[in-house]
Amino acid sequence: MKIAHLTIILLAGLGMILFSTTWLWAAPQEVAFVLKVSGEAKIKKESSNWATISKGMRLHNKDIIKTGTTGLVALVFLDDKTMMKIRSDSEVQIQAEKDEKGMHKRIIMEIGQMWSKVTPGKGSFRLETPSGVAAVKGTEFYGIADGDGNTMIIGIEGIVEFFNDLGKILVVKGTTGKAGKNGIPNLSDTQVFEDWAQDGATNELDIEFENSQGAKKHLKLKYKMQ
Amino acid sequence: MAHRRSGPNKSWLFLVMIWLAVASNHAFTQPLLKHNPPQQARMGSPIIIDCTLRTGPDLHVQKAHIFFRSGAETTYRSVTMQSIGDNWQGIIPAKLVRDKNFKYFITFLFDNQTLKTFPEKNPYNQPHALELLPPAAAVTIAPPAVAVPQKSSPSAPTASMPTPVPSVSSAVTTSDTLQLLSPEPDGTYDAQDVLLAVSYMGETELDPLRVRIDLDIRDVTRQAEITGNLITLTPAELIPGRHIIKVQAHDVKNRLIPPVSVRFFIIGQEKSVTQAPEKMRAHVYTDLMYEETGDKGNRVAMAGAELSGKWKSFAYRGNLFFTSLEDRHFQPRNRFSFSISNKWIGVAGGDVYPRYNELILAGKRVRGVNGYLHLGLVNLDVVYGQTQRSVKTAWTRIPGGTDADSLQVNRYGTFSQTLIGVRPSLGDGRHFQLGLTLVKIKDDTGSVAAGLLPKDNLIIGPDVKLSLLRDRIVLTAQAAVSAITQDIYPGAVTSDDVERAFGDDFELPLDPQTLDNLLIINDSTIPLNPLDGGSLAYLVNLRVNLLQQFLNVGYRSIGSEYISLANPWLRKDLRGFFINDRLRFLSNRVYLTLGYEQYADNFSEQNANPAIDLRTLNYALTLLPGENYPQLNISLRDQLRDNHVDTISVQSYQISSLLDSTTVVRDEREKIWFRDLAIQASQNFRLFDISHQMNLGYISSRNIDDFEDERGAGHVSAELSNRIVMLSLTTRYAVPLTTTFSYSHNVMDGSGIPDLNYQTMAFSGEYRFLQDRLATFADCQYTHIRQQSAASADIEQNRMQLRLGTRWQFSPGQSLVLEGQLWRYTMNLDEVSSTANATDSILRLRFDRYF
Repeated sequence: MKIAHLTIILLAGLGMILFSTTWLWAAPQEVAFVLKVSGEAKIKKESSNWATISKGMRLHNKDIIKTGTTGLVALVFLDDKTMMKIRSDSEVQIQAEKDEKGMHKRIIMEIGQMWSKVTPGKGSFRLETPSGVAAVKGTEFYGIADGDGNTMIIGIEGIVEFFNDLGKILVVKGTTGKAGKNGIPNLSDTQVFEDWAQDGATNELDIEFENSQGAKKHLKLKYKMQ
Repeated sequence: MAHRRSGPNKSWLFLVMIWLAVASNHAFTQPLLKHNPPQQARMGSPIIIDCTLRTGPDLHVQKAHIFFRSGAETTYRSVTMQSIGDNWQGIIPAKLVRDKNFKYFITFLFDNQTLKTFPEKNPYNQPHALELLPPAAAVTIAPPAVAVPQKSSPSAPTASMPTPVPSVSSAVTTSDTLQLLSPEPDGTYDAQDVLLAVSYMGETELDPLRVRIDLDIRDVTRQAEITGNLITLTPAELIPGRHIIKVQAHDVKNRLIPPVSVRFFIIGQEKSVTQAPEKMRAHVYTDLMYEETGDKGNRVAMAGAELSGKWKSFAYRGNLFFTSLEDRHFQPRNRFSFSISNKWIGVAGGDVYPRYNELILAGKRVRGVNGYLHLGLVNLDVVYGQTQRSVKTAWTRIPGGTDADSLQVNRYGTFSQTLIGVRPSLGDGRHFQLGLTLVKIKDDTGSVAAGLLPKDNLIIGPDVKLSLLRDRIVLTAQAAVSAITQDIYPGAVTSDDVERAFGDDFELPLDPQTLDNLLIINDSTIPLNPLDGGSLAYLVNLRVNLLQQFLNVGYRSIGSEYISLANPWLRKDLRGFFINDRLRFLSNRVYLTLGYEQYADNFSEQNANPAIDLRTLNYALTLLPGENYPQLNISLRDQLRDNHVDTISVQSYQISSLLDSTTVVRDEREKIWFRDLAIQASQNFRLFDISHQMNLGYISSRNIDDFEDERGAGHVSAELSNRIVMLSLTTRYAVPLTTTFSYSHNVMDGSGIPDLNYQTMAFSGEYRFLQDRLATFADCQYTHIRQQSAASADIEQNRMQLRLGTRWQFSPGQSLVLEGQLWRYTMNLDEVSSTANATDSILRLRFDRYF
């Protein structure tokens, strides 16, 4: 009888432990992951305090990332491989929800600088700042929000629809969209800007040459900008 | 009242206690090997063999090997298994997984020179067979050909790298795909920047238990963090050069997701993976253990080193093993060996384990030299060395009083024993090979001062192999005849000795003394007449792997006088046939095994005992319907031992010193059925978004004596019944935690022995940190044994086992394992007698360094 009782108690106990741990450890779905980190960068998850962010970390809906004066974080979204980089002295919240059309990503940036190369075709990508919204479908752009509520969208490739309550513009390659906190978005040609997101990236140089038999060959060189 | 029991009862109780202690100790120290063999693998892919081995505190593994062979090979190759705690793993290299007819078995050699194998019975002749599928065409994200800044032009990834598959493949493939997020195909990275990230955004989620990640040729799945829609992995160590990562997965609906692979480069001086086999690999380890059993403390230290590599067309391999258990009063426990070989020529020195002929020389340890020259048409294998070393005679000095002291043998010494073997053969074995093995083993009578029965043994025998349809049909036959002289102290007889014994009319064709270099012949030589057939052994075996079935048929006859000291475990005086057929149905989802053996044991009846018929019928059914459904295995074994004696003999003996005669009743009737039933079922399922695997098992073993009702009172019955129920649940959480809960109940009862009732509950867990570089594991196991007997009060024994340990890979290639185990025994005889308690413990520290 002792053994029977002990068996029942142990089974019940283990069952409760299993149930509770299972319930606790049922992880929420990830939306992105951290590809690279340099300098000071922290993350705040919905139910925890600020923590140091690290390479490989998984990001979930409503996570907030804050970078220090030397920080830079590169992250990749899971659904379409959209890449985003967050520059120093920035704070962004990542919101992402999935439906049958794909994952809809909202980047809430009060202050800071970001760059993104959005993969077209799946879901949507929006950058939301105090002075406007940049809706993107397959393009590469920079977004800058200063602490006074001013926003700048620099088009690198494709088209970005930049709008707020007062108006809407299309930002394309070679143009920059600007909007103040309560101002109409306006478009101008892009002046000299710092292409910081490309630093350290691997570039490819394709050189075509012809040999003595007339055959064309390609020499592809991969290099990194320092 | 219990405390007023009479003397005989107490004696009985005491005997039962001893028996119980011995029996329970036996039960606890029996090694338990758990291995779920894969049913399929893919050609050109490494096969990873995992198993769990649990041993008692006083049993240690000396060697752990996987022996394997492809169809065209006549001998087994082997790889060493490595351990982390109780878990053992070995990897069969991809380049050796190349033939459909692939077989392997696992062996563990313990320091008491016993073996544990998988399959448990006759593994050498009946190894586990794998079905090898054609190489998979992996979905490669990388472009097919890209110029890269390295000097050498890398080949396409699929050409150089295998594609591993999970052990049980699903036929259903989902249209959703794995998406490689990082690294970039053909990207160039610093070693510390590489991060593997693969997402799965399908309609379902990944099954974390069925994901496999290979980095070059290593399975690195355990280093990865895997959830329902994301796999991430930071490789721990990447050398400069080209690397390939492959990811295979199933979703939770058991659908195979098309695999992905990516090739990338690490900056630095290139060492391509294609050059990796050229590199020397080495492994050194030390294992220190302190065990305390009762009041006795025992320290065991082991250390070893292994190295392997390639030099031009040669492969070399070395091995060293030292243990503090080495004792000159026993046979060697240290081991060392070095071998270098290629396809045509090879030599190995140190402890070698040659296999020439199953009947003559089949894996016996020889400390010496083993070499071969394989030219294809003509081949030669030679071995020379010591099969046992001399152990000196132990003497006891007997005081002689006024006379001189005398010496008396306390323990006879062991002769050193030398083996020489040679096997010339014709044919390379792909279609045909004919070999002839000659082995001579002889004790050195001068090696010890006093020993018992030094022997001289000569064995010769041919073997032949025929292979058709790329080894789908293989016929092998081996035969051997032996001669052994059981005592060579008197030396060889001469013709004069024979004439004196049998008269002048008896003439021998030659003088036996002239043959003493070949075999010392005297009156202890067996057989005296080689023509009577008693020293002949042969076996014939046909294996057919066609039409979804694997048929194995054979006949063997081992004479009662056949003795090969190079193969001492061969069962003698046995003759009969066996047939075994394994059929596969429904795309290998159903396996049906049928087997029948019929042997005559003691068929020569030389010892005046009757021959015993051994008839065994095996049937097994395995269902592998897919992971959404239970996997089921049912096996039955029915064996009959029948000596065809159905009467009791009554004999009267007149004792010369007594007037009366005494009557002896001998009941030699033996007709016993051994009926074993085993049912095992396992099911993978998800609960609360976490993967679980549940295993259920029932084993029943019965010995049924046909004459049980007719036995006399003094007869010890063979009737026995044993039933075991097992349940286990393994859970792999989203965090790197794995837990296992298990329960088993064993009831054993038999005629004339007390009923035994075992219950065991165990809970174990392992949590891994730092991307698998640090792990902690803990086991807790409680066993309760109740012995019930009508003649005495119940005896209860409890055992609580705790095991706690950690495994730390503190830098690439270096790891430490620290493990402690504690056993607490409690025996309650009854409410009056004192309770007997005991505590045993083990502390173990192991260091491994891989180069």
